[in-house]
Amino acid sequence: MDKKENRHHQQDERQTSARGGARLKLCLLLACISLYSAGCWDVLDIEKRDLITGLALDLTADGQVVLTAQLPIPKVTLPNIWTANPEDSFYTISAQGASTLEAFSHFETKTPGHVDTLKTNILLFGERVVEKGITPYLDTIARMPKFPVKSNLMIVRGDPGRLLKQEVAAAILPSFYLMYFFETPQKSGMVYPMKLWRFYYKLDSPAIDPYLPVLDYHTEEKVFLPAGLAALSGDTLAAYLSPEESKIFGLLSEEDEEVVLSTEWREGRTISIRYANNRVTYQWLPPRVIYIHMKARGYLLEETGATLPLTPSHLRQIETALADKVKSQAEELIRKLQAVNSDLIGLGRIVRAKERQKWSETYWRKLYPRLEIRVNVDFSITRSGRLN
Amino acid sequence: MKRINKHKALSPRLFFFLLFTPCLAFTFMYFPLTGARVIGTDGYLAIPVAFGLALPITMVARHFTNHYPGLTMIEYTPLIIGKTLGFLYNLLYLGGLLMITIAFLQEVIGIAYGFLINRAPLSFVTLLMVGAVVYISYYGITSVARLASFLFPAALFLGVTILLPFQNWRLLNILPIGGEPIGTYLNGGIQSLYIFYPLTLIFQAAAFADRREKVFPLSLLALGLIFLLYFVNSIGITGVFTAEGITRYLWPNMEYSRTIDLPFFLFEEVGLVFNIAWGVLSYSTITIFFFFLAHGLAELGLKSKNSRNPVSYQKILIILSSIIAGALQFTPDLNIIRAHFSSVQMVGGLLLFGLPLLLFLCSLLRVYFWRKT
Amino acid sequence: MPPEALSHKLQKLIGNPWDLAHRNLCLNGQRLEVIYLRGLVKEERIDQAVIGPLQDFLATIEGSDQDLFSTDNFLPALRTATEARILQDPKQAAGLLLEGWILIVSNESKFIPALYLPGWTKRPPSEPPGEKALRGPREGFTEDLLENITLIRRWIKDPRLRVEEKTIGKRTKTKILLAFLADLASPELVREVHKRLDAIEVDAVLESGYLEELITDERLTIFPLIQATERSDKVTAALLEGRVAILVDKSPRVLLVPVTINELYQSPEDYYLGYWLGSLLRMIRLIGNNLAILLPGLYVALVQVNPELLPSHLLLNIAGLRENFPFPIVVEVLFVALAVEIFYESALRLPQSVASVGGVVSGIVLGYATVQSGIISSPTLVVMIISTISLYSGPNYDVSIAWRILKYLLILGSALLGVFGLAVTAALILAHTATLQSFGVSYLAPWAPLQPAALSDAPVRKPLWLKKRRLSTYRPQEMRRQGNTRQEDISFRKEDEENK
Repeated sequence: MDKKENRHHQQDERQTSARGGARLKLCLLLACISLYSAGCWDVLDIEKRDLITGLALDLTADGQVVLTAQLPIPKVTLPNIWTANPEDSFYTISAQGASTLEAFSHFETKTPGHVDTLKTNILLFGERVVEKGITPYLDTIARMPKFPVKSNLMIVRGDPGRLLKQEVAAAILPSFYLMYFFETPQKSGMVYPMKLWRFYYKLDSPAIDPYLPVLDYHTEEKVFLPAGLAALSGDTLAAYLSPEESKIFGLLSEEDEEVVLSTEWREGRTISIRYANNRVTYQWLPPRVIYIHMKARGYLLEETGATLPLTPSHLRQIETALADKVKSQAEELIRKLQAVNSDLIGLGRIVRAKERQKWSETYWRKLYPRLEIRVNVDFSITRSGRLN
Repeated sequence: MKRINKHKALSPRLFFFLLFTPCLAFTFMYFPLTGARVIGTDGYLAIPVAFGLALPITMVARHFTNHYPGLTMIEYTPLIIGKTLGFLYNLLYLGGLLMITIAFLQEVIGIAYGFLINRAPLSFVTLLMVGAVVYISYYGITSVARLASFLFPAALFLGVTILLPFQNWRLLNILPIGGEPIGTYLNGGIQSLYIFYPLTLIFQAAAFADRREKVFPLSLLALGLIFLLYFVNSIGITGVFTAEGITRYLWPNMEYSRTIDLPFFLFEEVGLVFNIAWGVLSYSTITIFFFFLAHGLAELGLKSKNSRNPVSYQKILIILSSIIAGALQFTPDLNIIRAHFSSVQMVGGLLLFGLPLLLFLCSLLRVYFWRKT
Repeated sequence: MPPEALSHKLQKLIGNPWDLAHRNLCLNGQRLEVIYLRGLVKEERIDQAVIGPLQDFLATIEGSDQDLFSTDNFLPALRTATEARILQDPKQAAGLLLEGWILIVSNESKFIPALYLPGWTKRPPSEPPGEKALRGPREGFTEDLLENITLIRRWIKDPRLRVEEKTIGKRTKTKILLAFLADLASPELVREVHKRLDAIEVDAVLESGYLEELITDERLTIFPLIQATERSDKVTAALLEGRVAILVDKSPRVLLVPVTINELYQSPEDYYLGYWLGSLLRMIRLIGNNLAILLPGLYVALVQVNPELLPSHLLLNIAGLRENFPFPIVVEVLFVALAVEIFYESALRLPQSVASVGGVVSGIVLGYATVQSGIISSPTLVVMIISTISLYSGPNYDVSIAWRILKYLLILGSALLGVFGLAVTAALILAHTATLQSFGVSYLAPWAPLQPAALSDAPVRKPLWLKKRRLSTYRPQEMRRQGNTRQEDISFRKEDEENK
C-alpha cells in the first residue's frame, strides 16, 4: 500500500471507530430511554382520580376524628348532561380514625380510584375540633404539598359532615356553591373568607389571632347561610361573633370593604349605610391605651322617615348617629374579644411595633385583656343614590 | 500568560446573564427563612446588609481583572502564592463550589419531589437532570451563557410574580423596623450572605469577557438587580406571611406564589407555574456551575497517565457529573442539610468569599509592597 | 480527422444513445456533421440559428486557407446562438453535448464548435404551493437555472450583484450558482460558502436538499440550518440583508445562508400588509407554533400528572368526558398524532379529485366516529386538531417538520415527569438550539445573543420608515439601508385641492 492509500486507510479506520463509538452511545441512549419509558411513574388518568371538592373534619364524643368527603360524579356534572336531581351529581363518604391521617387513609378503601385533594376548595370543621385546638388535626392536611392553599376554611355549629351531604337549590355542587359564595367580591360585606394560608400565618404570628367564618344551612330553602364568625385564641375556639358583630370586626380590621349598617337616627326613622373606603389608624399610649381612629365614607342606601329631602344638618345628624353606633358596638366587641383573649384585630402588631424590646407572646397575652381601647369614628356620607 | 481564545469570549450581555441567572435562582425559594429566623419581623433588613458585605467581592474581581487580564483565578493563584499553595487553594475553592452545587441540586430535587412528581425514581430524575446539564456544558461557555440569556424571560416572570402577592400585603406585618441591636442585623446579613455565593463565579468568568473594562460595572449591575429583587421579595413575603409565618415553610417563596389570586388566569394556581419558571432557571444555574467546576479542574493541569497534554474539560465534565449523580443518591436528605445549614453556609462563605479575599490581600502585598506583577 | 471518425468518437464517448441526432451536411463543398441530443435542443431553430449562418459563413471564407472554425472568424458569425464556444478536446465536447449543446464536426478543422440553443421543456413560474401568501408576487422558482437567476435579476438591478458558477456531482455535473451582493455579503461568509461547496464530492446532486445536507453546520440536528424557499421575493430580501443564495439546476428550491430561527417565521407578506397587520400575523405565527408544539405535551402533563393546575370545572368536564374510554391519554395523543402523520402523507399522494373527499373523511367522519365508538375521547381530539392546524401557521415547512418530530419528545417528557418533564425537555431543546450556528451566525439570534436593535424586528414587524439600518445578525458590510423618508405633508395636499 503506498503512503496515500495508507493515510486514507488510517482515516477510514478512525472514521469507522468514531462511527462505532457514536453507534454505541446511541444504542445506550436508546436502551436508557426504552427502559425508563416503561416507567411513567406519576401518570394517573384524570378519570381514575376521585377528587374531593369538600372535606369536613369533626370529632366524635370519644375523640375519634371523623372525616367526610364530598366527591363529584364527573360524567353527571358535564354541562350538557346535568341532571334534574342535583343530589345525583355527587356522593359523600365518611371515615373515622385516631388521627386525621388514619381517617384519611380509610378513604382509599371506599373509592374506586385514587383519592385526591387537589381541588378541595372547602374545609369544614366541627365545633369540637376547634374547641380542642385545631392544629393537630390540620397538620396532615397542611403538609400535603398539593392541597390547595387557597382552600376556604369554615366552622359549622353542628355536624359538618351533614352539611356536605345537603343539596342546594341553585343546582350546583354544594362545594362549588360555597366556593363561589366566599369568592364573589360583591358578597364581601357578608362573609369573611379564611383561606388556609391566611389561617396559618395568623396562627403562627403571636401578634394576631385567626377567625373562622361560621356556616349554617337553611333546610327549607336549601341554601347555605353565613352565621357570623368564630374567634379563636391561638388555635382554640374562644367566642362566637354574631353577624352584626362580624360587620364591626370587618370595619375595625379593614378585612371588609362593604358593610351595610343600620341605625335609628331620629325617632321612628332608620338609616342604612353601606360603608366604603374605610381607613383605620392606631395610636399607642403606653402603658396600656390604644386609640383606634376610624375614618369611614359611606353611601346612603335607605332612609325610612319623611319624604322631604334631607338637609345638610340632617346628614350631620345621621353621620353622628352612625359614628356613635359604630363606636359603641366596636368598643363592646373589643371588650368581648379581650375577655376571651382573642386578638382578632391584630392589636398585638401595633404594640410590638412600638414596644419591640418588651414585646413577647407571653407579655402580650397578659397585657391584652387589660388594655384600654378607645375607638373614635369619623364618618361622612358621600353619596345618596338618585334621591336628594 | 495564556490568553483565552477570542472565539470563546463572552459579549457584555452574555457575561451579565452568566452572573445574574445563578445569583437569582440559587437561593430564591428559601432565602427569607434566614432573615426571619435570625432577626425577626424586620428580617428583610438582612438583605441590604448581605449586599453590603458582598460588594467588596466585585472590587476584588476588578483588581484581579486589571492585574491578571485574560486569566481565571485558577491560573493566577499560583502566580500570586506559588504553585503548591496555589494548587491547594484552588482545590479548596473548587471544593466549595462543588459543595454549593450539590446543595443546590438537592434543593431542586427536593422541590421537584415536593410539588411536581412523586414516584419517579431518584436515579432517573438525577440522570435526566445531570445528562441535560452535561449536554450544554459540553459545548462551552458561549452555549452556557446563551442558554442563560434565552431563559431571561423566566426571570422576568419571577420578577412579576413576586409583586402579585402584594394584593394580600399588610403594613403592620413588617413592623417594627429597627429596634434590635446592630449585632443582630449584622448576624442576619452574614448568615444571608449565601444568597450571593454564585457571585464568586466572577473570578473564573471574568477571563472570558471580551471587554474586560465592563466586568466591574456588569457585576455591580447584576448584584444590584439581585439585591433589588430579593429585597422587594423579602418585604413582600414578610408583609403577607409575617416573619413567624415564613419560618413554617421549607420553601417560603413557593408558598408566597401560591397565594396569588388571578381570577382570569388560565391556570388555577400560579404557584406551580412559578415553580417551573424557577426550575428552568435552576437548570441554567446548574449548567453554569458544572461548566466552571469542570473547567476549573481542567485548568488545575491534571494530566492523564499516558498523555503529555492536560485532560480536556469535557472529559472531566463527564467524570464529574457521574460522580455528582452518584453522590446525589447517597447524600443526606434535604432536612438534614437544612439542619446543618449554618455550618454549610459558613464553610461555603469561607471557601468562596474568604479565600478570594485572602488572595486579594496577598496580591496587594505582592503588587504594592514587593512591586511584583 | 474525417468528421465521421470524430463523430464516431463522440458517439462512443456517450454510448451512442437513442436520442442522439446527427445531421450530415454538405455546405459550399464542406462536409460537416451537426450532432446534438434531441430533447435538449430547440430542433426547429437549428436550420435558422445554426445551419443558415453556417452556410453564410462558409460562403464568406471560400478559398481561404485558414482553419474553418478558427475563433476570429467563426464565433462572430454565429450571432443567433445563445452562446458559442470552440473546443478541441473530444471529451470536453462530449460533456457539452450532454448539457444540451450542438456540436459541429468538420474534417477541415481540428476545432469543434459548440453552440448553445437550449430547447428542453420548462415549467412556467407559478405560485409555490407550500408558500402561499395573501399579497405579493405569485411567481416562484422553476427547475431552470437561467430562469431562476433571471427572476432575481428582475428584482435587483444593482451592478454589485454577483453570480458565481460551480459544478457539483461527478455524474450529474449539476450547475450551482452563488448569488450575493458584493458590497453587502460578508467576504468571510462568501468564502465559507465556496469552501463548503468545493469540499463536496458526490456522484449526483438531484435537488438543493442534497447540498443542504452536505454543507450544513450541524449534521445531526433536526433543525434546518439553511433556509430553502421557492419565492423570488424572499431570496431578494435575503440578498439585501447580506445573505448568500445558492441556486441549483433542476431544483426550484433556492438555499439561503445563513439563517436564524427567527427568519424562518417571517414571511414577505409581513412587509406588504402594513406594520400593524404584519406584526399581528407574526405574533399569531409565534403563538400558533408554540401552541402546536407545547399543547399535546401540556395536555398530557396537566391531565395525567399535574391536574392541580387546571381549573376545577375543566378538570371535572374532562374527567366526565373520558369516563369509560379504554386508553390512557398519552396513548390517545400518540395514536391521533400518528394518524395525522399518515393522513398527511396520504394527502400528498391522493389525486386532486379525491383529496377533498379524503379531507372530509379523515377530518369529520373518522374524528366523529372514533369518539362515538369510544376509542378516542373528544378532549384529546380537540387538542390534537388545534395542535395539528397550528403547526402549519409558520411559513417555513422545514422547521415545522422539525417541530413535528420534537413534539413526540415533549409528549414523552410530559408522560414521564409531568410539567417538570415538559419544562426540562423544552429547556433541553432550547439549549440544543442555543448551541447551533448557521455559517457563523447564532441560530437563536437576535434572542441569544441578545441584539436589542434586531429584536425590534423579531416578534413584531418594524415599520419600513424606521428600518434605516440592516440587521447586525448577518454582519453585512454596509449597515445603512436608506435615508429619511419624510411623510408627505397632508396640508400641502389640501392646498393643492383647494387651488384646483
